[in-house]
Amino acid sequence: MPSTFSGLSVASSALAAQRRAIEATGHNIANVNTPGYSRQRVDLAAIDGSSIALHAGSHYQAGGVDVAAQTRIVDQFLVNRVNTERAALGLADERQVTLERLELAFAEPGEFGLSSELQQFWSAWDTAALTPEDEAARAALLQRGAAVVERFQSLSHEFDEMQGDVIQRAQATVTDINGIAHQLADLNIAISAATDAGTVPNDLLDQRDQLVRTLSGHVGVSARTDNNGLLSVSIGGAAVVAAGRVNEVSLDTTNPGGVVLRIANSPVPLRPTGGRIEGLLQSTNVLIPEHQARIDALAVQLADVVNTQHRQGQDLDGNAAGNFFAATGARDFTLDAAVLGRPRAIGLAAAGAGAFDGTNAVRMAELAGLEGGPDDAYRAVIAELGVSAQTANQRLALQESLTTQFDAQREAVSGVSIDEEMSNLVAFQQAYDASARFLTAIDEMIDRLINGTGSVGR
Amino acid sequence: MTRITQGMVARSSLANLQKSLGRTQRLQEQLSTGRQLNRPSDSPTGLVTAMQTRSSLARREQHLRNADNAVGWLNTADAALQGSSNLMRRVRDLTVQGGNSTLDPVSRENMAQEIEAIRAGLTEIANSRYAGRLLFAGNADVPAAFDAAGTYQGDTGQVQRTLADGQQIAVNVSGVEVFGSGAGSVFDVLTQIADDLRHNPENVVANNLDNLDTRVDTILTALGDIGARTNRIENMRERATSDEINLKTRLSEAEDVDLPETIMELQLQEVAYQAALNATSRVIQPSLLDFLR
Repeated sequence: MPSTFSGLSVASSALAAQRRAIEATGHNIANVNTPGYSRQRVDLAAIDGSSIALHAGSHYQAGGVDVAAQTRIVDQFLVNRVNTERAALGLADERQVTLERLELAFAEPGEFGLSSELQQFWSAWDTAALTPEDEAARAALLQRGAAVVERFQSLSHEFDEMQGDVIQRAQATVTDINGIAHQLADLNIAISAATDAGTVPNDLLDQRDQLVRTLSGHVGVSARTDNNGLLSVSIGGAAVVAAGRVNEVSLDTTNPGGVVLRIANSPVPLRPTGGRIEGLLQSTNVLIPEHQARIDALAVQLADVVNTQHRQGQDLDGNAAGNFFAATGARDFTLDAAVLGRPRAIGLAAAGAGAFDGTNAVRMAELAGLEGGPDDAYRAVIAELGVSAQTANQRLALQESLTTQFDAQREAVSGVSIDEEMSNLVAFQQAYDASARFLTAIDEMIDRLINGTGSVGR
Repeated sequence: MTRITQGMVARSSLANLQKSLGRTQRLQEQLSTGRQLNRPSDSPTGLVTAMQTRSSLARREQHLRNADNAVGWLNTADAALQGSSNLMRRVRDLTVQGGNSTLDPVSRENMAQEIEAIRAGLTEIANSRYAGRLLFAGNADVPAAFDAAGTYQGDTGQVQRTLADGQQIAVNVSGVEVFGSGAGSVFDVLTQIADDLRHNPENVVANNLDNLDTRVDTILTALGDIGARTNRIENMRERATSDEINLKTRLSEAEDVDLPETIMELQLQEVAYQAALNATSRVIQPSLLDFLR
């Protein structure tokens, strides 16, 4: 036999459940623009009376509803995938930035590039050959030589500056990584405490996911959650966050094999699988040094080609000419002391010819078209850079669209839809109204029983 | 069914607008710089072509400057040798006249003096300069091509100008070839004629006319040679000029924007951007909220 008052408990469970649902809807709406927020759902379950003893001695179930749990809607596969894509995006982005800066440094095509300097340099030999007797023309040729030298040095200087910037950015990124690692450890502790207390810390879990997402952009990590809900984060197999502990990473700029990332005092460098830091490491260890090496080789080749021709000449005073350039690389590329400030010492004349001969200068000017010569080599450098930069641009565009796509997929699962929340709100509110009406009905029934019964003929 | 949230719509709208704006900015960069090649990655192969073409163009321009200089040299030499040839004609007239036995010694003396003056004039011509440089002294660093005695001071070096890749042309005339040096030189012949006019008038023609004609012939041959070389240079210059135009066209094709096409593209892009803005404003605004009361 059911209790007279069991209807009241049904009504109250319904009112409480609908209110919880409305509150959850409000929470969702409040966080519609919160980054990393996952919508939450109140799981309602009908009360099975057999398991519930509302009143001592009564086993009759009156029904009702129970809030089984408030869960956040996440697809862990998508969460992981988004992290992977973020890491790839960070890497692609930094590589693209570096290659674009390299392109800007070379300033090709344009009148300030080395290509244009070289052309003017070769032309200057031809011009000097027109008036070998004119010291002013010789001085102008030296000026053009100095301009080529200056271009090589300023390219080197530009690369050095880029290196400095990249290291600085890497340092800042490492600081960020460590900051996030500490926040993750703190969140681990808070989540563990909340779980122990029996609550489900949905919003803390969201915050933790969001931090891992940001961290993935900085450095490719693998994140794993254990059975107790504790997150561990590792870079290339080495743990950075484990429960509440953090192993800080640091940038080793003195490593002989190039700049590396390591966990303090560990002899083995970390090998991140992506992220900004990997892009920065590739920039500083590969991309920039590679181009420095190319212009170093070019400087040496140019000096060699010019010197070989120059030494076949004779200067204005009939002496055999010496070297024109001196270089072991782009940094120390300079006019040779033999000609520096000495226009008369330039070997415009062919050996044994008259003092005013310009044949050697004519030969020199023809080196502009030398097959496999410095101009060809330089064009190859630029073409290669162009292809690398083009590839990096395409890679970045592709990665951006991939990242956007997976972000959208994650958002499709976890994002808050105002339409959905509004229709939920209507549904829950109507259910609440109906439950209240039901309570009124029960109340009136009891009222009739207590105050309106047994008073026949009163 | 995929859920679509307001956040997704807003974000993807923003991303698409950004992309559209990015394309517009790129077209604007092309239009404002007038170039479709602004960095190597725009077209690595196009850039290499452009750089090669630019370098060839610079060479052609230098060749044209060389040609101007070459023509300058040859024209000056031509004028100098024309002058010499005129003087020599006068010498020949005087020589033939001087052989006439009816002439009195005073007249012969006057003739001899005129011939000596012509000799001085010829020396001056043989020492003429182009832009400060002795025309007939080869490559030698000397104060004059011929000294007062008519001895050649210069060398036999050629002054060469590059007019095309691998093609040089000599622009100077060797002083020793045209005028001779010391004995048998044009100066020597003139001295001899003046001498014979004074002391040996009956043999002045027999002694000197052949020598004189040989020297005149040499000068005329040199003049012909200069004319031929000038023609060759003019031909090469024409070729270099037409090369230059071709190269400029090719460079422009590689580097410059196709104006009508780019402007058209920009306009299309603007229309697309406005359409995207319009669509975004319609999609982002409403939600169920607008229809519930």
